[in-house]
Amino acid sequence: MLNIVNLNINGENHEIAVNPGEVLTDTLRNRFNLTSVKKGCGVGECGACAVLIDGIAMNSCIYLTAWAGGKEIITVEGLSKKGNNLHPVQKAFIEEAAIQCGFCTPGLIMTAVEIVGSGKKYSRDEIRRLISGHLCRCTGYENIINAIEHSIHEINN
Amino acid sequence: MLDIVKNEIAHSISEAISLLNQNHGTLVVAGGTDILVKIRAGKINKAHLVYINKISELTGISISESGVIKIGPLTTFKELENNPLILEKLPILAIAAGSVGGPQIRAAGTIGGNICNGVTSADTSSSLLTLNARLEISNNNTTYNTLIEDFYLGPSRVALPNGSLLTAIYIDKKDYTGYKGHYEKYSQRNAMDIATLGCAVQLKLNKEKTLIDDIRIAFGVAAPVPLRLSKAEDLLTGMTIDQALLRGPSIVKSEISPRDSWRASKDFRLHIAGEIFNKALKLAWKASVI
Repeated sequence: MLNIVNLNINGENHEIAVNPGEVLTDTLRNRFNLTSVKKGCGVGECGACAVLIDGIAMNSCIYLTAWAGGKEIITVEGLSKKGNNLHPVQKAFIEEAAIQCGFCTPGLIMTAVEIVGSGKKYSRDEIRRLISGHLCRCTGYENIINAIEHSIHEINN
Repeated sequence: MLDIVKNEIAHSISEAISLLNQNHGTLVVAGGTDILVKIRAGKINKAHLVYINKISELTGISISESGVIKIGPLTTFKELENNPLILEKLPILAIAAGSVGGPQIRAAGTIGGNICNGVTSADTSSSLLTLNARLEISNNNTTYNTLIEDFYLGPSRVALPNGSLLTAIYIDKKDYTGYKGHYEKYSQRNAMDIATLGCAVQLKLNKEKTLIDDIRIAFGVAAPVPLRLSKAEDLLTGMTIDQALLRGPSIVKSEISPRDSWRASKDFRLHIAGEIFNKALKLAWKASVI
């Protein structure tokens, strides 16, 4: 039994028929070529597949596409669409060298976009807690926290 | 592709209950953070799911004129830890919700799922035990309430008959007024980990704030189900904080029966039971005397 789903991905409406067992990570990667969404652990532990669903960072590997009806999904590809300008969070990740191998980066950027978009100011410890659903095996997180602090500062000024 | 044969989306309580009654092998799914992982691991095959996350009747947190707090079972951990009413009236529940998994898990996982999963490690369950939470269960004939203490039957077994749904969680005014509490979770990592042991303490002091007027203690992972420690509560009532900190650990240890598992040995769990009880008690005391 296929599920018919109407959803909005990076600002565009789509109607798709999906198998009930298809997870959102696979839909985004295989049907829409949104390969910023990484397949890491597949069980919601590493955060590499995180996307924004109605503005909240969620792990797309443990979210069925059939559930996404009426939802707005945003991936890294959707951040820089307008005029090809990078999002302030993306710029901050580059400026602070918050990237090494890059596998965790898209997921972390989506969580950072939610954090920065909340308009609140956070301590380093609070930021550390807010990114604790993402595993990065390269950077040791320091530069990632620097980049998020940097973009919070930039957006609030 | 996960091994799911049918994925039905319910838009109302009555629709969900009717779908559950059509096929008794059907699983209710809300956040999906546990069920999808189990399906992926092959622990559930050919799953037939009823997705309840779009049922607006099951969302929201409100307080009645008589002070009864109603929590919709679809309330996520993220909503619980940030909700102003919960932070003001039931801070222990905000602390417990904030200790679950990581941010993306807290954004998806729900309090109803945490309860209905029936696992002893559920972080919100021990706190709800100390709050005497009432669970509203609905089926196609009736709606009734059951105390959370009576809801747990055994490991992963709860008093939720086929074809019925948890439709609300209630906490009465008498169960939070005057209490200050804390939930202390012991796990190997600070985030993304299941409790090795968890302890919830709700404390009410006498008027002079010198003696324990009432104490409620519940543990997770200290028994096959989340456990309320009524004997320890009786023994500790009337004590000063110093007496309770001195005698409490051995009293709580005598009432729990944790097991050996790959996560931790029974002896280690017994040892940390005393430690996390004292930590939770101290923090509840501090919050009470401010």
